[in-house]
Parts: sequence; C-alpha cells; structure tokens
Amino acid sequence: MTPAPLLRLDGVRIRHDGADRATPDGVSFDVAPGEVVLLLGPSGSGKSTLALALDGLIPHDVPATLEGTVTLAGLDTRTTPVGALSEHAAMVFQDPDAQIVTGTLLDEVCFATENQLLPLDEVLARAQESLTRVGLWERRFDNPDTLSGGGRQRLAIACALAMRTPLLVLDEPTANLDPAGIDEVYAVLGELATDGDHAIVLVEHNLDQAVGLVDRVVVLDASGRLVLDGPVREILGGLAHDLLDLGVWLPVSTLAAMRLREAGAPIPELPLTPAELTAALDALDSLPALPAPAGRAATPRRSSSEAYRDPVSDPAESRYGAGAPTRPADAVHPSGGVRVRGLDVKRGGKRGPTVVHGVDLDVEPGDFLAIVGVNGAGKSTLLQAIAGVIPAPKGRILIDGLDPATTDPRTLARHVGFVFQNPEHQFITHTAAEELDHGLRIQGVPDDERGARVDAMLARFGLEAHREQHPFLLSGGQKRRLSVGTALIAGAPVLALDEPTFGQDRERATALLDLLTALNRGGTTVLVVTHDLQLVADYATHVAVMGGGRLLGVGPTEDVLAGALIEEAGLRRPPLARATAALGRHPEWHTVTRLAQLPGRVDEPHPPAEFPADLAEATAAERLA
Amino acid sequence: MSALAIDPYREAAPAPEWRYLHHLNPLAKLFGPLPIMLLLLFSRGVAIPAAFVALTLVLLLTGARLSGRMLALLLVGLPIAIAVLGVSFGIWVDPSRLPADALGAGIPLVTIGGWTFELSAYLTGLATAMRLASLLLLSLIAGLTSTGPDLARAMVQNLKVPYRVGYTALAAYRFVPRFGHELEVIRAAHRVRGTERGRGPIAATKRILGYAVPLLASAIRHAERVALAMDARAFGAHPTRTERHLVPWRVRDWVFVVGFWAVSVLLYWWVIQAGLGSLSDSRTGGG
Amino acid sequence: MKFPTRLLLTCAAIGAAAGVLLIPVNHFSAAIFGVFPPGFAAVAGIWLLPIVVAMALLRRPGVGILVALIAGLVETPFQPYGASAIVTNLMIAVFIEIVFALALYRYWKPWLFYVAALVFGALYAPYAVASIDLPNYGLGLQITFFAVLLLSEVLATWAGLSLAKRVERTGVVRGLAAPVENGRVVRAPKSPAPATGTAAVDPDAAPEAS
Repeated sequence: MTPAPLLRLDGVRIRHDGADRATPDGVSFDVAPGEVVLLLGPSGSGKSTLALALDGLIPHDVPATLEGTVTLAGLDTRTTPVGALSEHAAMVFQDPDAQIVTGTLLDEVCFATENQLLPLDEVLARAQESLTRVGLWERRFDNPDTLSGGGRQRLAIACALAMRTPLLVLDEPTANLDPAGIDEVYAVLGELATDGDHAIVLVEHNLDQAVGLVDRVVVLDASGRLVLDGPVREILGGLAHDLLDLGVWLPVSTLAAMRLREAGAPIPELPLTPAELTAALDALDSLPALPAPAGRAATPRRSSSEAYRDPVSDPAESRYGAGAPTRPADAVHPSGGVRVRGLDVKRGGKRGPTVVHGVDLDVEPGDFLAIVGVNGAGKSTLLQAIAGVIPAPKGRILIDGLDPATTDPRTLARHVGFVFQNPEHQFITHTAAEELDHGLRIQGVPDDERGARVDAMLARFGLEAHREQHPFLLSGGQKRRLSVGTALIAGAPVLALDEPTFGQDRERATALLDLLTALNRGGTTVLVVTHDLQLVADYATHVAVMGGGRLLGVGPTEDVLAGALIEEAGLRRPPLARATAALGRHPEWHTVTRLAQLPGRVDEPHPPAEFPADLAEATAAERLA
Repeated sequence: MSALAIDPYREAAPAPEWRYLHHLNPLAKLFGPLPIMLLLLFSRGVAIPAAFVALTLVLLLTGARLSGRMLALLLVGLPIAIAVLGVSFGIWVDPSRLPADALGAGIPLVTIGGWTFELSAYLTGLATAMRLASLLLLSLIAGLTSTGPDLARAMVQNLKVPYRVGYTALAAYRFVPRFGHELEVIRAAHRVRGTERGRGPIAATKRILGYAVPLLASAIRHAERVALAMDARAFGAHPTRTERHLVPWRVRDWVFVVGFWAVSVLLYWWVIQAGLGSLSDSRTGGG
Repeated sequence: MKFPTRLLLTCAAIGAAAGVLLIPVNHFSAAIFGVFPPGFAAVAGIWLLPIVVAMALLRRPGVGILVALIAGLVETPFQPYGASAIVTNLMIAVFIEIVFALALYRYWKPWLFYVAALVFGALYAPYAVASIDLPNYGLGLQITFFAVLLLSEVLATWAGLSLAKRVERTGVVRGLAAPVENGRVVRAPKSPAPATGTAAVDPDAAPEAS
C-alpha cells in the first residue's frame, strides 16, 4: 500500500470572479511528503492561483469559484477553515513587504504560532529554531524594515518554518529581489530541499536557480491544463522542445546547449545549470565556430560601437553648455543623446545625503543603455536625475540638448519620457485614450490633431481594443505599454525606465524588452535601470555599472559582462557568462555572454502574436500574484 | 514628512522604575484624563485650565521620560505658544460682548486707528489658549508615555476588542511609512507628466485628489495581499491568541485613574472656591 | 458579525492612506490656527474624509467605525493629540453610522452622506464653539464660522464621494464592496468572500458563479 499523499488535487478548476474562463482548468496531481515540486507554465496559466488553493485561501479568502477537490493532509480545503489548514501548509508570497505584519523579527516569527494558541514556551522555542535556521536569530529585536529584500524574504520563510507544517508553498519567492537577495533565499531553500522534512511546492520563473533543488516538475499550458508531470531532468532535459512550444521558459544553460546542439555540438544530455553547461562544453574537444560579432540579435543596425561614436561625439563637444542645439524639427537623428559631467545628486532635499558622486556619462543617440548595480548603488537616483524627475545641480546634465535643472516639466516631456516602476502611479485619467490625450493637451496640441495621434499611439502599442478601458483595469502588460505610450506621446526621443521588469515573470519581461528594442531600432534612445543581468545581456547595447554612488564603468555590453566590473560591483554575472567564464578548455568562449552570440538557433518561447502576454491575464489573478 | 521617520514599533529601552507613567496601562492614561478634558472644554477663565496645565506638567516632569527637546518644548515653547495664541484669539474678541466688569475691561493695550486691543480681550483670548494647552497636555500623558502598539494590545486584552481588529491596527502601523513613500513616488510620477501646475487651494485640492486615486488603489491592493498572508498564518483561527506582550490592568492603574479624578475634582473645586473660576474675576497667573 | 480579514485590512489601508494624504492639510490647519483660530472651521471636514471614503466605497455596516478606530490607533504615534484622536474619530463615525443604520444600511445614495455630514456638523458645532469660546467674537465672525464649517463638511463629503467613485472604477474593491444599483444594495452577501466562493463582483459576470 502506498502512503497517502500529503496533498491531492483532483480536477481543480478555479475561476476568479469576473474572469471569463477558469485557470487552472482541470488539474490533478499528488504531492508526497518530502517531495520538491516545481510548478511551471506560461503567464496567465494560473500557477499562482493554484498555489493559493493549496492551503484554502481559495475559495475561503479570494472571490473565486473552485471546482474539483483539493485534499490537504486528508482534509477537504473547501470545508476546512483556512486557520485549520494552516497547521498543514505554510505559504511564502512574492512581495516580502506584504507578508510582514509586526514590528520586530521575533514578533513576526511568533505571529502564526500565537494565533494557533500554542503555549508560550513552544512559541519561543520554534521562533528561535526557525530564525536560527535562516540566519536571523541575532537580529530578532530589529524592525524588519532594516533588513534587505532578501533578508525579509528569509524572514518570511522562517515564519513559515515556525508553523512546522509538512508542506511549504512558495509563490514566486524571489521575483521582487535583487541578485544578492535571490542567492540568499536559494541558499536557505537549498537546505530545506535537501533535509527532506518538508514537501515544497514552488512557483518560480527564475529557473536557473530553482532547478538545482527540484525533484519533480508539473507543467501547465497557457489555458491552465496540466500537460506534463515528471522528474525534473526527464521533463526539462528530455522534453525541452515541447516546453518551448508551450511558451515555458527554460534555464539559460539549457537554451544555450540546445542552440549548440543545433549547430552540431554533440551534447549528450541537456544541462540545467551553468556548472553543468561548463562541464558539458569542457567535455567536448572542439566547439562550433563562433559567428562573427556582427550577428547581434537585439540591435543589428550597428556593426561596431567604435565606428558609431565619432560622428556624434564631436558635435556633442560643442553642444554641451552652449544652450539648445538648432536642428531641423523633423530630424529623427541625431537627437536623443545624454551627456553628464561631474554630477552629484542629493536625495531628500539640499540637506539630504549625496547618493550619486561625480558621475561622467555619455549616451549616444540610439543607444540602449542599461544601468546596473546592487541595491543602494545609486542607479535609480542617477536615472531620475538625468530625466529631471528629481532635482540635480545646474549645468551638469544635457539630455537631448536641454538641462533638466533649468527646464520646466512640460518642455522636458517633449525630450525625455520617464516610466516608473509601477505604471499605475503615473495614471491620471479614466480611460487609456484619455491618458494619451492628456499628454498632448498639456503640450497644447490642437484638438483636431490630438485624436489622430492618440489613435496612432494606441495602434502602435496594440491597445486599440482597450481605448475606453480604465487604465487600472488593463492587464499588467497593457498597463506597462500604456505607460510607455504616455511617456512617448509628446515626441520624446529619449525613454528612461526605472526597473521596468521588477516583479514580472520572464515572459512579460521579454515582451517589454522586445517592445523597447523595436522602439530603439526606430531611433529612440533607451535608458533602463535593472538588476536582471541576463536581460541586460540579451538586449542592451551598453552597460553602465554603479557601485557606492559612483559610476564604476561603462561600455559595450559584451565587454562589460565578460570583464571583472560586474563582480567588482558586487553583482553576479548572468548564468551564461558564468558558464563560459568557467570554461577550462575553450578560452575564446570566455567572452560569450548572450544567447545571440552563440552559433545555431533555437526559437525562444517568443510571443506568437505581437503582444501575447495579455491574452489570459485575469486582473484578479494578477493582482494577487 | 518627518513624522514618517518615526518607528511606531520601537520598543523604548525600559524606563526607570520611578518614571511611573511608563509603567501604567495605556488605557489608564487615556481614561484618567478623558472626562477632565470634557470638563475643561466647557470651563471659562484662565485659572482652571492654568491649574490643570500645572498639574499635568508636574505629572509629565516627574513621571515621564522626556527628551531634551520635549523638555524645552514643554517649558519654553508652550508658554510662548500660549502667550502668542492669546493674542491670535484675543484680537478677534468683540469687547462689547464681554461683561462690563470683565477683568481688564477698558484698559487699552494697543490702539491702531479706531480699533483698541483691550486687556480684557487679551485675557479672554489667553483663557482660550490656556484651555487648548491644557487639553493638549492632558492627551500627552498617554501620548508621550505609551506606544501605539501597546495601546492596541491593551484594547484587545483589557477592553475585549476582538483581537483581529486590534492586530489589524498593529499591521496597519506598517502602512504609514510605506504609503508615505509611495505618495512621494506618485507625486514625482505626476510631476513628470506635467500635471503639477497651478497654485492655490483649488489646484492643490485637485492635485491631492489626483494622487489619492493611485495611492488608495495601491493601498487597498497591498491590504489585500497582507490579509492573505495573515490568514495563511492562522489569523483568527481561534477566538483568542497566545500573548507574549502582556499589558495588564493592575491595582496601580485603578489608583491612577481614581486618583487622577479625585485630584482633578478637588483642584476644580478649589479653584472655584477661591473665586478664580469665573471670567469676570479671572487672574492671569500660571503658565 | 465577523469581518473578513480583507475587509479589516482594507479599512486600515484607507485610514492610513488618508492620514498620509492629509499630512499637508494638518500642517496647513496648524499654521492657520496660530494666525486666525476660527479658520480651523475650514479644515474641520477632514475628519469626515476617511469615513466617507470607506463607507461610500465598501457600503457595509460598521466600516465607518472600523476605519475611525484603526485610523485613530494608527495616527496616535504620528500626531500631538495622541490617543484622544481615537475617541474623537469614533464619536464622529458613530454619528454617521447612525444615519445609515436608520436606513437599515440599504440606502447609500449621496444625499444620505450629506445628511450624515450635517448631523455631524450639528454635533460638532457646540464642541467647536466651546473650544474657541466663540460667543465672545463679533456676530459677523460667528456667522462666517458656521458657514465655513458647513461648507467644509459639505466639501469634504463631496471630495470623499468623488474619491470613492474614482477608486471604485479602478476595480480594486471588486468582491469586497456590497453591490448597489441606484444607491440601493441589491443583494447583501453575508461576507465579501463566502466559503462557497460565489460572491458576486458585478451583475454581468456573476450568473455562472452561483
């Protein structure tokens, strides 16, 4: 007789109130005690929704209809209150801030056990054990606000551990963290997975880290049906092409190996981690020839960055400090350059601390520059100062020929568009069309002209069908595109984005970066702050690395990622760069950092239609994700 | 925005034993002064509120741990504020509405053109200022010596407010700095879109309403996520919960409340007895 | 009646957000108080704002009192009046809730909010009069004071209702607010997210759910 499963799902369909269809749609699987299961699926397949159903939050807390049954430790979740189910399953959510309710780490980790009416000494014993386990016991009297993002998420894990449940459910636990935080969390999760005390259900899009600790993979398709369920190596390694067809992302190391196989490299088994990729490549005597560096997928318009520099840097010399340049009004090029000299920026007024020190930076028109750095490196502050969002000293910045310190916001909006991390913060009106119209009205564009420009912008970003919709009711991808549209409607040749992929899954992040690349090819200069270095590697033409408020270096993406700068700044190189840097036998491959540099090609799970990520997004599901 | 820098959870290092106000139940410090505040609201003249200002100052100076800044505010700032507010209130007083025998009637302090600022008007204004000062000080007895979370806990433990309500408030303390930061971001986001235009109260109101929509929407969503996280951690699973921070109601709390009332009534009675209570015969003393 | 956690925390969020938004108004009112004390009548309405927003947005019994209690508790460490603000807040909320309770919590039309605001005004006036000793002021000033007080309450109610409407359009209170038609509750579910998972969000989307 097989032991009863800890968790059993039978024909689970969940429809959020107001949604047209159920996602997930008919999912059945079991989880045995001690098993580590990774739940995969494209955006909108209902992974996070399913996670909420595992401990009864659906249907008890979330307005949604649950069909089929979820049985946790023998209890039907539909008829058992969440409070009772919490003795068997603990949750860790995406946003560390949204799961902290008290004022000290110790209070926090005692919260659940106090609610469960456990005796005081038991509460304290469990608190000590779980805080020690995540390495936070010494800080037990601190306010959680003083922890880093990774620290707060470790605290959330400790809170779950204190409940001593046989099942842990983690819903995108690293999506809101910087690379250092992701490493911290995975160090803890790795231990939990190996000690085998807990069954773990993990929803995660950061596969490069997650695959190392997973036993089994359950895959949903775009409509929320269960399509694959099996051991991790069998599924990710053996059925990689099927997963790509489903729109599921794979570890970068796997994608790279698939490409190389395609180009003729005899790789017997697909690697899942950078270390496995390194080993697989080093096992080969020869690798396929690397294509010429011209084959840059993201920005083919440029043959080499050096050849590009000359024509603009000379005129820029005379432009700087000499007031606005005169150029034909309809010229697309070469407007949109940025020049920064000796910039110091204070945060929080004149007496605030200086968080950016002595930055010199040139961005040529048409560049796609990524500014990277650890939390607190000053990267967002630098971007906001350049775009005039926060005040900067006079005479230090020239963006598209203007000094933001002496330009009023309305004029500046014609030269640089700024997109905030959360698009909702920028919305002012009641419909998507009005949102765009607002920007034109402020610029004094006549009525008859505005309508056509709004229509054109809606069409450009695939929002025609949503013109009368309230901006807040758009899907995540649509909101993001609308916010880019509002930033560009006044005709700005420079677009600046602050952490635009924060908290989004790989698929949505890619959809956005494809959009930015298209704009960039059309001549828009793009500046973006991000901590996702693989995205940087695959899209940006240039990278600026910040550390401690200073600009540590700037250069073409390949050079920066292959050099030592990234690690000097306390960042971790993206997975592919890590794998190639560790190669013992093929030194010429050490500079390979992006998939596009590899020979061969494999279709990435790219959007089939232009803006696919919206198709299945139920607003209700999304806001809980 | 400096208020947002306050950490409402900060557990102050335990106050010394003799700072007795810190060792009372927050509810005692709330309900002791409360009826007296109501009484004071309808008092007239300078003497009664002045007596309570003095009484409260004595309590705060002996029983509360005060920072140097707070000490300066109480001992220097407060008297100045009372004196100045006395003028602000006084100049709007219509002397003809005061009783003819009001103290200081007919004694001009300042004369500008045809308008005279009489001593009686100033004393009336001063009485109002003193009354407001006494109300403020009385509420500081609890305000300076107990934390918000302790008050929430006391309501749960002593007043039998359902713990889910009390702990919701506890969770909500985290909202204030978060929303404050978010409001700054929203303000910047709207400024970038060129909406920060126009001056005056109407433009300001429109702007604040514009900020309020994304702020409230985001706040409500955040609340929803926090609610899920709390329920997942057995919030409300039982009618009560294990308490690690006890905020007991002890004999000393009864002593404080009853004592406070008794002293207050005596003080009130004594001031009136001494003939200081009515406007027509008020004195300026105290401050 | 048991409030779902989501409702409790939403009330807390409204209270906290209103507190944060009103910080500049508080500074303004403190400044005006020092120069022209009766001027505080102009900002008396802000006491109403979070309560009106919550009640107009959620349309459930008790949310006004909940918001007032939690807002009061949350504001305690951040403002000088300390804990007495809780009592003031609660009294205001009780007066307003009484108006809606008399309508059996079935009518949520805007005019009822204005009536509630006037009820609050009528009860607040004696307190205001006593605290600044109004009878000693000139008659013109007294009349202006009451007019401004009234105006401030009406304006705050208008602002609260308009804000609630705009926030409702963002869809964040779906499944939480009681559904209304023409200002009348059409169906009052026992709780926003009943265990059967059949809470209606909006009439068009609901039929399959139940």
